[in-house]
Amino acid sequence: MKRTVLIAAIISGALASPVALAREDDCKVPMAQWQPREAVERMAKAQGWTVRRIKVDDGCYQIRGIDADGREIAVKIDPGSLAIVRMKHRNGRGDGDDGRSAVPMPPANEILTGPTPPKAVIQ
Amino acid sequence: MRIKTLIAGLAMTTALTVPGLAMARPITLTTTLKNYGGNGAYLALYVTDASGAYKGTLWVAGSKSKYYSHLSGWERASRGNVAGINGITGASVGAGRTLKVTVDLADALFDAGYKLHIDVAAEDMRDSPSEVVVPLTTAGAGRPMAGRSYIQTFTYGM
Repeated sequence: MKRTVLIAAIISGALASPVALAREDDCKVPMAQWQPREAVERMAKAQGWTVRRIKVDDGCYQIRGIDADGREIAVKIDPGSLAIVRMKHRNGRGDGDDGRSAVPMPPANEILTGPTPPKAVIQ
Repeated sequence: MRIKTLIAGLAMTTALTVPGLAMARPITLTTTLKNYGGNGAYLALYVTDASGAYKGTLWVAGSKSKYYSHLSGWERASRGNVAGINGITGASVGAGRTLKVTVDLADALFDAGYKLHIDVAAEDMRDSPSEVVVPLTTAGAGRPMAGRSYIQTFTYGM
């Protein structure tokens, strides 16, 4: 009896683990509810992105291109709602919604208090 | 009533922000190097107050922090605060080239005893801390001055 329970536990564990391993950024939208590629292009345009490539990955649309700030991006889009599932910048960090900006913040010192960060050119 | 309050509020906030903006102005710091015949130079531009105490860095030309110890005046003043220069570093400056830094400086820094220092160092050559030390004054703006060994001319303009 005990052995049966143990075997059952092992089997259920083995069956459950692939589900547990499935990544959170996968999309599970039935094919019938998928929006067309053109809709994805329109959505990207509305965001100010320049699209280089649209492909399907892990059940999501994936856009590769350049965002409005000129940074390279890879964005996963839910094919049904066209919501952003995950956004990566070129440096490989997922920073879709953490509010980090492309312009480095001026350092906290007493001199640099102006709104624009210092700039330099070499001629 | 509500709109009136809104307008009054807007007027107040605008009145509060406008002087804030007027208190800083963009300053261009132009440093031209001599043809000293060596590799690109590292420069640190920083400000000290009337008592000589370090107040802050405006720009560091040269991105490898392992060489910052050669900018000895700046390193000592800032206590090697590399984190404090995040976002204000750039490439080193070649011999004979001109570095132009544009920075917003508070009006309060002018005619109040503040001094701008420039440290220079180049590979296998003599370090030159405080190569230029110039008091920040409105009268001194646009007046070129020479450095000790690497800097041909330095001017700050408003």
